[in-house]
Amino acid sequence: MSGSAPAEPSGPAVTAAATPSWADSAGLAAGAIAALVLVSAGLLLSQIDLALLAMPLLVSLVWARDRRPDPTEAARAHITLATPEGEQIAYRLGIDAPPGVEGIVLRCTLLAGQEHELVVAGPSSGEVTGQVPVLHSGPQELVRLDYRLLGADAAAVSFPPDPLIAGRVLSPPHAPIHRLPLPHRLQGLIGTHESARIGDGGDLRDIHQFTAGDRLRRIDWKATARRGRTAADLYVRRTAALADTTVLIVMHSRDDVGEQVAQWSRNIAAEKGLSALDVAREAAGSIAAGYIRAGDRVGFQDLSSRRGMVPHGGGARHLWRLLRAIEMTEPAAVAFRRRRPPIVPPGALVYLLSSFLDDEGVQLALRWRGAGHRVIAVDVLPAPQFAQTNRYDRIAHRIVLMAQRDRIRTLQAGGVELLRWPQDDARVPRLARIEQLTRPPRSGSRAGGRR
Amino acid sequence: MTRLGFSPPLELPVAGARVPGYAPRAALVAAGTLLALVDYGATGWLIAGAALSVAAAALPRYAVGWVLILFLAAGRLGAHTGLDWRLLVLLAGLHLLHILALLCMQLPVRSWIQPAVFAAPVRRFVAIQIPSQLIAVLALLLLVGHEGHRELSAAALAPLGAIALTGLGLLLFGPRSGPRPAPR
Repeated sequence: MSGSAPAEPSGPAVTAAATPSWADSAGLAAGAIAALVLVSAGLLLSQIDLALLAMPLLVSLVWARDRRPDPTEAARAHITLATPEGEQIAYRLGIDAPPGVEGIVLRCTLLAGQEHELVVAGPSSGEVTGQVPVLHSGPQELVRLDYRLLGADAAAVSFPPDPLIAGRVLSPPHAPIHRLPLPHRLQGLIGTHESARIGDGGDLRDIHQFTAGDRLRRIDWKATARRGRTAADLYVRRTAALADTTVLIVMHSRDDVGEQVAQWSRNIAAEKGLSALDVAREAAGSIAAGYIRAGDRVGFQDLSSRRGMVPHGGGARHLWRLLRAIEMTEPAAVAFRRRRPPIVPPGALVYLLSSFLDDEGVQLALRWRGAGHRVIAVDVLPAPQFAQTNRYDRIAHRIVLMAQRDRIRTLQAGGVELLRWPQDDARVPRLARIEQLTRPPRSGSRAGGRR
Repeated sequence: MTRLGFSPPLELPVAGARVPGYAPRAALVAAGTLLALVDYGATGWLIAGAALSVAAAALPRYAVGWVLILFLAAGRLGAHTGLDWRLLVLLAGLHLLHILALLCMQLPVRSWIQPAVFAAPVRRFVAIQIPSQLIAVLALLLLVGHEGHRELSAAALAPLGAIALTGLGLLLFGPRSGPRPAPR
């Protein structure tokens, strides 16, 4: 964690008001029975000291019963989150309980995992502040507040109302990428990439004999003097046309397993470490930003979501739309079976971001590849950590990973290129791996990947 | 920072909560054991008292705390009725056990507690104990003869009952300091 202090909680608070239902503590009845037994024993056995011992118990019970909070008054709870800055988010919570409440039992759950219980004096809890670490990107529950109210001597207790939940959608980090792969054929008419077509804007393509349609100012007089055999032989310098490209980023957000293998079944956000969706969001955001900044058109589709596709587009405003859609991706509890695969524009480059723990993404990628698209499969499964795992966990992980590698081999055999996004291999950095993909493919034209 | 430490963990929300949740239970065990020692002396009953104290702290929902109160009160059965410091200690101790047992029932053992949570119970404890001790001293001086044990009859309890009824009536029907439910 860095030492930077998080911002003060501000902005709109998550607020809830509820009228608590009160119940007597079982201790009230137990105390009354004990006191009555003492008084009865004192009378029956003619011992005043036993009756005297019951006296403070009886008075205390009557007093506690008399000071029971008003059951018709509501309690108000609020949580305020600070703007995410650095690696922690500050939060502030408070409860205003009805008069007569002497204690408030707070259960504060951070990141849906870590629970802290506090007992504060009532009726107003005052400001309870804390910090929640930023461990993941995307929509997430940051603070959950459950509370119970205690009357005098904890003789009256309220039932806990519905929990108050404060969440945020956190942006993933973005890695700057300057060189990105291009599709086999560029079909756009404007842009920054040099295409195979003859036109304006690009570098020298070749020197060719003058034909109808060539502009006179393109005549290369030196080449004409060198090559021309007759006075009618003219040679022109032809340049390549510039074009843009269309990229479709497809994210398969069905699984969100973390790097801690021991947490694959429990999947507690606070303990699972870097997750596959964290990596996928970072990769998708970085790829989208890289292409949009180069003037290309990018679309986005989440395979596990019922939301529609973000259509292809360019420009800064479209980039914000894409990044927001990427931030909002979250694992789906129920598999979404789509009737047809997302429609890919002709000549588009497809990125499929997935952990490849199931076959759905594989089939789609092979179908797109079969239709002639260049498809890059981005493996977003983070490098495993085996803390707190036993032998059986490791064997299970090995079996799952063998199946994943089989799927990746199937993809590669079908002509899908592979990019592993997590920075787990120090020998080949991520940018170098992307650089390898920008080299012109053997089967394609020269519009392979120069930027 | 472990739960057994006396400092709250760093990730705990800041609310001035410095008392660990097991402190009321530890106080219940300590008070119960000490009262058993005062009441029964260093006999085998002391072990039973300590065991009940531990059970009351470990299983507060089973109301073992009030069993402990009855167990300690039973120690007075064979004792000489008279003005005795042990009785006065027991008078305060049983009341303290009652409050601690009530608190242990509701305060989570893994929580951290603001010291101010105990302020109101302590104020009430003192407010009840001062008159209780005075009444106990007066009752023992007035109702027990100088020559020794005098049998208590229902008639002898009448003045005490009248005082107690007056006090309870004042508490129930007198001016309330707490909130009153809204009329329906």
